[in-house]
Amino acid sequence: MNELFLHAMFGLGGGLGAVLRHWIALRIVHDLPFSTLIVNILGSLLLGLWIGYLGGSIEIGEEQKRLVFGFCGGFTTFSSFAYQSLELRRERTVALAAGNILLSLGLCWAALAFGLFLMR
Amino acid sequence: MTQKPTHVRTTALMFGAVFIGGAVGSLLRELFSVSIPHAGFLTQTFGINIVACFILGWLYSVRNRVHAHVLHLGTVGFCGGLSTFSSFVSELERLALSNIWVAASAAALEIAVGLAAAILGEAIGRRFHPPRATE
Repeated sequence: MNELFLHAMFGLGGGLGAVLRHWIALRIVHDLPFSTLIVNILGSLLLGLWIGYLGGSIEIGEEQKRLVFGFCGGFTTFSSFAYQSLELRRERTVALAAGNILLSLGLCWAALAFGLFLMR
Repeated sequence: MTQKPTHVRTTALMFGAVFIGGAVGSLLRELFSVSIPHAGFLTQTFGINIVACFILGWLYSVRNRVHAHVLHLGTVGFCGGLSTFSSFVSELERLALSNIWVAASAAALEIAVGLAAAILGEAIGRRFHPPRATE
């Protein structure tokens, strides 16, 4: 029962994350895929804060991971990021696609590191 | 989503579809991240992100053929819930603690393979479900 509850929490977090991501995507209407970028940065920041709160990225118990990892994973997305990069290359320029990739990677990594730093 | 159909109203059903897709995708992600052993020089999220990219490419190749709610369930919900960027960067951070170049090459490799998987999914989708002449 306890294990089932943890799975339910993970699924609930993922579902809520997806809904919030979609809500933000509907609010931010722009030619460039800024909504995915913003969502990924916010999710990475939240995950950094949570991992930092739990005390580093190595030693984390299974139970502690559930809700926040479920939420952050459901909230952030790799597949939309990849597909939008492809579309940028196809419909705009290679430079925009490369910029999207580098910006996403750099800013999300920075956001995660910032979250870890804040909780140190 | 750069090409969101504007005629679809935001309804509870739409968000319900996104919620269900996200929950199922997240549970699958949890399942795979626990049960699949992974190589030490790659991130744990490698496999699921690649699979999600492949499915997303396939779904977008038939985007004009399926109902908008089904598309939202699959793309925004399921693929978005299955793939993750936050755990991806946290895994990179973990790799970077031991060696920054391992982390950088893992990032480059995962993104390159993810793009390739999306292209492959799209190509296969086009092949199996060619666009109708009226479209």
